[in-house]
Amino acid sequence: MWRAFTRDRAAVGGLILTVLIVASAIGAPVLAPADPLEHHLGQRLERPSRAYFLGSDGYGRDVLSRILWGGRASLLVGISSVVLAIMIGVPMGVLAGYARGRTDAWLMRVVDVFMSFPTLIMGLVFVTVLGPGERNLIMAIALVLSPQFARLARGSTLAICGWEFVEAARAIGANDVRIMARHILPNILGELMVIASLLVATAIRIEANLSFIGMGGSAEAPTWGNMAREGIQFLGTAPWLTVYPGLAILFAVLAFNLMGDGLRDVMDPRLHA
Amino acid sequence: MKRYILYRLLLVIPSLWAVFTFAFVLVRIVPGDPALAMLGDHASQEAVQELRIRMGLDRPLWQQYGAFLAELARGDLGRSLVTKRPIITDVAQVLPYTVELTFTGILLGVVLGVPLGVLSAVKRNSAFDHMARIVSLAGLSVPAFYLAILLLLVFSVSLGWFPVIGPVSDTGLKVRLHNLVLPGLSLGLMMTAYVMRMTRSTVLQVLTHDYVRSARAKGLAEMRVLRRHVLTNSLIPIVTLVGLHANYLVGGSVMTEIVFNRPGLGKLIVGAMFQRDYAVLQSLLVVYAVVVVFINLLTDLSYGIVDPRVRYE
Repeated sequence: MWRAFTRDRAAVGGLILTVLIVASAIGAPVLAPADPLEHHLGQRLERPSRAYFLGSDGYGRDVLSRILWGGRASLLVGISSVVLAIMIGVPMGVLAGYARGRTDAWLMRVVDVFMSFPTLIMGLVFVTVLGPGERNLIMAIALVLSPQFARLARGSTLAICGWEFVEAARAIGANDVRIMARHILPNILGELMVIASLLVATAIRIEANLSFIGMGGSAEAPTWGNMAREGIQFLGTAPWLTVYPGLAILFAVLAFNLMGDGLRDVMDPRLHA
Repeated sequence: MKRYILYRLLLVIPSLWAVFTFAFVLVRIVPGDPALAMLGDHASQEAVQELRIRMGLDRPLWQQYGAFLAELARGDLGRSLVTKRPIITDVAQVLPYTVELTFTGILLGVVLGVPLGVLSAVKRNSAFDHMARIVSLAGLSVPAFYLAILLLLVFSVSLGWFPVIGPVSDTGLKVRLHNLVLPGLSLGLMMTAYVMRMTRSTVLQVLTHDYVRSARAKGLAEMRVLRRHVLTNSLIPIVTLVGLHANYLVGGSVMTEIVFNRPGLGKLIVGAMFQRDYAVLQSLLVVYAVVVVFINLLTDLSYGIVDPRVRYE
């Protein structure tokens, strides 16, 4: 399976890009040339140069450093919210698929209504309702994304329940929880990884959009979204303030999308036509 | 066909009920007291209590729900907690702008995306195909505000073809169209990326079907095969997916409206967010819900056009 993955150049590219981005986020304290929060009011709005590799912003802060640290924040939010979404959505979906009948019908109806709303609108509502702050932002995005995991988990569970070893397990007398944990969950993992990768991309994008509006996590600490927000007032004079953070968002989202696509192509035997 | 249309229209009522209920519940999952959240910690007890009464929070939940549904049935969206103006007037004022923007985006997406997707599928693994796939993935990955900013940077700031902040309301048709171009393009390009991708994978699948092989074996010209067999059979999944993504585009329009400073629902909802105006938030959710149900209705009705089996049922 790994061989199939490496044959798809785009997927490998996605993986490399993802690794690079995650590494640069983790390594931000070491890689960043300057303190992302320190004001240098003498060097405001500098063009990209040797001293300020990607320029400086309205307070003289180094854009490159802020992008590296911002990557930390954005990735943290993106990945945490997906992990949380999995923890919320998968049990619900497996339960629905396993129990079937009315539990399933009602649960899925709620999920359907949920998913019919635009994700950004849902994100906006949750962020307003839950309040400001990074933790609430992660919770909000997790709530927006969890229905997708619920649906996926439910579909897979329904399929797997038809497989013989589940019947066999029940025949030996395994109880429901054991069946769900030991037999169903491991078999969902593959598809879960695909959706997880794609939804990390979505989560990063939602975070960027929310931060851009100003409903993001933090005020002073940089995230890619709020960097773009501050930079937009200087669009004519210092375009690099918005262009570079935006580019960072684009590459991060692209990386996870490519990786997710590659994983999906590997999992789906039909597409090897 | 008529029966299908009637049935589908009737289905709107339970759909609306479901999403209205959802909007009602969502706004009330506030940890703590929403009136307190609005006024802040320093507000006096009386002020908080007065706001609670105005918000209807002093009544039992089922009464609030009943009042909510009754108001909606009358077409009343309530009053803003901040401005105390009826919400429906504000919505009615800005709704046309959001509608024209979203519609332009969807139209552009379909008009550009479908042909490009078909071309990409037909010329599979060519240079064009690879380019198209990369570009469409980029289009899907770009955050909505960024594409808008890039377009602004190139066409307004650098080239000066379009004003950075253009008047949109109370102006003639020409000016209004002129100011629709960049925002419409911004949304439209994102939609194109998605439609192109979906069309490509759908057409690729259809091309593997036996009847395509038969058509070609019969000696039909490729164009005819494409039009009569491939495209018509691809349309159903494409329509479905366009409909799904149109909902997503409604969300994207919020960002586009913010960047281009256009009047619209987006600005209203962001304003409500910052002021924690739960009444406006709830009502806007209702409005978005209606839009979503409407888009789904259009999608389902267009199956009647696209899929002859539905017509003759």
